[in-house]
Amino acid sequence: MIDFLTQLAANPVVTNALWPAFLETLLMVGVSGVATVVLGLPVGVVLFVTQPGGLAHNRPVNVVLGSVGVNITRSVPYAILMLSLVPFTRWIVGTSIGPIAASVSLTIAAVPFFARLVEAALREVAPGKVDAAHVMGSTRFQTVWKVLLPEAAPALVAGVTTTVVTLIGYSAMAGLIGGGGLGRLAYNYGYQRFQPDVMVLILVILVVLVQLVQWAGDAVVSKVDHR
Amino acid sequence: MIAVTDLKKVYRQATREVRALDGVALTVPDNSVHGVIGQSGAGKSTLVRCIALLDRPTSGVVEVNGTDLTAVRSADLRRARRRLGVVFQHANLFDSRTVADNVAYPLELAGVGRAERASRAAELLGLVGLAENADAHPAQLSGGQRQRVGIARALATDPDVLLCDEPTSALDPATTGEILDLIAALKARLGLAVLVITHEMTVVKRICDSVSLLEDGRVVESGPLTEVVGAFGSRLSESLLALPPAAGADSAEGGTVEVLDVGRDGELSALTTASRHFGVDFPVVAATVERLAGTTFGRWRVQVLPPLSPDEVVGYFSANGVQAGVTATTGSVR
Repeated sequence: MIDFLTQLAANPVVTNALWPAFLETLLMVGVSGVATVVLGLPVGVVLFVTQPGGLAHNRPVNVVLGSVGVNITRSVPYAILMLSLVPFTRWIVGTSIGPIAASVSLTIAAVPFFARLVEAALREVAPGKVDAAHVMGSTRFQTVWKVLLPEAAPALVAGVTTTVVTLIGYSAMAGLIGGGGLGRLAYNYGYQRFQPDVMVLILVILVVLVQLVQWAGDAVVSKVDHR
Repeated sequence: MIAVTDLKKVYRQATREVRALDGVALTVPDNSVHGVIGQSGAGKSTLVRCIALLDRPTSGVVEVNGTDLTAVRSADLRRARRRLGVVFQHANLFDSRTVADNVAYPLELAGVGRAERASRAAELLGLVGLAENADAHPAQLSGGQRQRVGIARALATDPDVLLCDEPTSALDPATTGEILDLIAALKARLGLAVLVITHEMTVVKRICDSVSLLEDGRVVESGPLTEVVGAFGSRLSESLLALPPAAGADSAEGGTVEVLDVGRDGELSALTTASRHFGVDFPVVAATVERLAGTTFGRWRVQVLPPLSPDEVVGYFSANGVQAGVTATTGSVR
């Protein structure tokens, strides 16, 4: 065991490549995470309010956004989505290599996922609260902004946590086609160069990272949950 | 004051039309409580939703202090709504806000400044007896306390009309009494026109000045409480002065007569007077006494034994201005 650890500490992969790879993973997850919340929240809200009987029910918008936008994107496996988005990524970022480029496909994969979580979170808010907001004279925007979103806050934060954990998983895949990060490192050294110690180390790091995200998310949930 | 005129709501279900409200008319003057009572399915919920404009009525008028809510839209409707406070069965408070912030919500919408909101919320919470709980979250309160917050919130914009949808149906009997007393006290203090929709007779007995019976989307009986209860044989009279079931009474010898005794000065003497007049006893098989809106009502079902006939007894009561009727006769009567 001691041997294993000293050997690992001396491994140039660990001493030179691990830290930059870790930062690349954080960058990918961070950029795509923020972009996903910023884009996914409004999409989820629109899905919710345009549903039949909703605050601003609008069948065409709901069908186009829900069935075409969200469902189609969600049915494409991420591995295929990221490859097919290479030209688009190049057009947006100017390159298809690097963590920022990888964030494009990560965001596009995660937005529909998060939007569905937002929609489900809003659906959990008791309809009586929306009625109350109405009879007190709220506009539709005020109903969403001052009532629905705050009331759904615990479920929304839990949704963000789930999305970030999913993004950590996807980021390993994105690393393979040029995103870099821990996934890339595990593949290049752990798999192709038969260094099981590197593989184990990266696994441990990922497990700890996911635990930390989940723990932080749960802490925020209990802070915003007044039920 | 609130006036509802010829309110209709028709739902289309596939090929069938459902008339949930079929021409409802109600008027509640200031400083009075009107109860709308009905069984489930009578159209109570639809009535509340249409009056609060949560659903648009198919036709009809909902007037709050002269403004027809059905005729105004968007910004005008939102402004008009401030004249109408709504209290819900489950309070429908916002869990994410403190009690004070819940009460301040309508003020926030009205553009009232932060400092003024806080002082007004404190004042309203004092009014409903919850000044201590301003910083609590609704989840920390009991059902009765939550309903008090709901009432304070409904009163935040100083409305003229309070619409209460089953305000006590989710509460235990003791709390029900407290909430009803609070509503009655606020009515008197603020001169509110209160419209209470309920299925509980207790609510009508305790706070209503007038009452309507809703059935199949229509008002089938309506009037001041003392009048409808004082109308012998009316549905509301029979429900508000419900008699306990009297086993075997109807097959008793002779027949049974029902008497509605109204004691304006609190005395119910019709039965004893009749007993003295005929020189016989009237065994009571079922009875109920209620004091409603300052008047004492007694409803007796008594046995009339041969040779006296039930018709004779009813005739005597009618001649003396007491409402009565024969409920059962048997073959043994001459």
